[in-house]
Amino acid sequence: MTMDCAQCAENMTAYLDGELSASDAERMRLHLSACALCSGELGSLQEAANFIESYRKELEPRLESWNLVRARISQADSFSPFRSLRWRVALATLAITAALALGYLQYQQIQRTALDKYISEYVREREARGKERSILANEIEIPYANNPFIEVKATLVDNPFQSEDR
Amino acid sequence: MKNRNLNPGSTKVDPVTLNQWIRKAKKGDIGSYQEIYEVFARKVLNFIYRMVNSPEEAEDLAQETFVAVYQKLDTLKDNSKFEPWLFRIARNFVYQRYRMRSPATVSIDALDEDGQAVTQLVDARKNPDEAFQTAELEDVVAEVISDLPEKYREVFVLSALQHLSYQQIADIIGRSLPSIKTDIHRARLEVRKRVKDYLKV
Repeated sequence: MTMDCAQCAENMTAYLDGELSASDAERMRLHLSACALCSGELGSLQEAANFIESYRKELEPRLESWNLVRARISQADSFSPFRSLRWRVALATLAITAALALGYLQYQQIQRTALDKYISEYVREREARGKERSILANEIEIPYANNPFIEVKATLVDNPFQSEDR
Repeated sequence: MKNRNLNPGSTKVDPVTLNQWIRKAKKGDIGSYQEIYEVFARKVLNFIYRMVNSPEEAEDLAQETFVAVYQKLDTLKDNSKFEPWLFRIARNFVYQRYRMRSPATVSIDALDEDGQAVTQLVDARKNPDEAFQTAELEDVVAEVISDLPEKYREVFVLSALQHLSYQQIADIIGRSLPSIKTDIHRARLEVRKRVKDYLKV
């Protein structure tokens, strides 16, 4: 289906700039081939564009511009070295490592405190049991205790540190 | 250090090469950034120049743009969008500079409103006999462009002079594609109206 004049006028600049889809451009061409008014309008737009293109004057960047840009980059980097991606990655890695190390130290400290508590409780308990055992030992009757030819040993049945094969 | 910036902006570059330069520049390779600079320096400079109408100021703002672009390069997620991103930063510098000034000295709005001096210049040259010389026609084109309302001048410079796609222009300005397309068309109509007398020469 071809375009009407209003659609054609609306899309004229886009057509000149190559911004229309292939199908729209084709519809436009069909309309232009049949409409002298629109084709004249397009011609004058093209002519104006050619005039601008022919007489546009452009500035050339100065020869020293790149060196100035580079100097400003170096200056900015020296004031703020943490701006670059590499620095940020390095900094983030350092922060994560430090956090992990601190966490590990903290964990070790907690473990050590728990172990110390357990040992001190165990020792306290063992001392209490030792006292109880010495009282019991004094009450044991040892036969031949005064006989110099017979060697006797006092043994505690419930001694947890003595193996059974002795 | 390389010293190949004899004609920056004259080089064409394919997207694959540009992508490689951007990736290297992101890692701090200043040589790759120089390649990028050489491709885009002239385009950026002339875009800014058409917006501020001062070669010295345009040069200064273009340099600021390229320094900022290097520093922010790692924030660019999609390397294929580099060009509109670069122009967007340049545009921000242009608007930032104008915001910092008092409207009485220069502002884009003031230029639009204060069109009389410019109009007189253009009018003075409307006699075709005086405008045959190329240099004079170049001046006419420069005046026609600088005299466009800011809204049209920006899209006209980006499309007709810097040949950016409509989608890129929409990305730079931050408006919808249909709205950009309409403005570009109106800008072209406005330019045609202003150069009409010279087309008959």
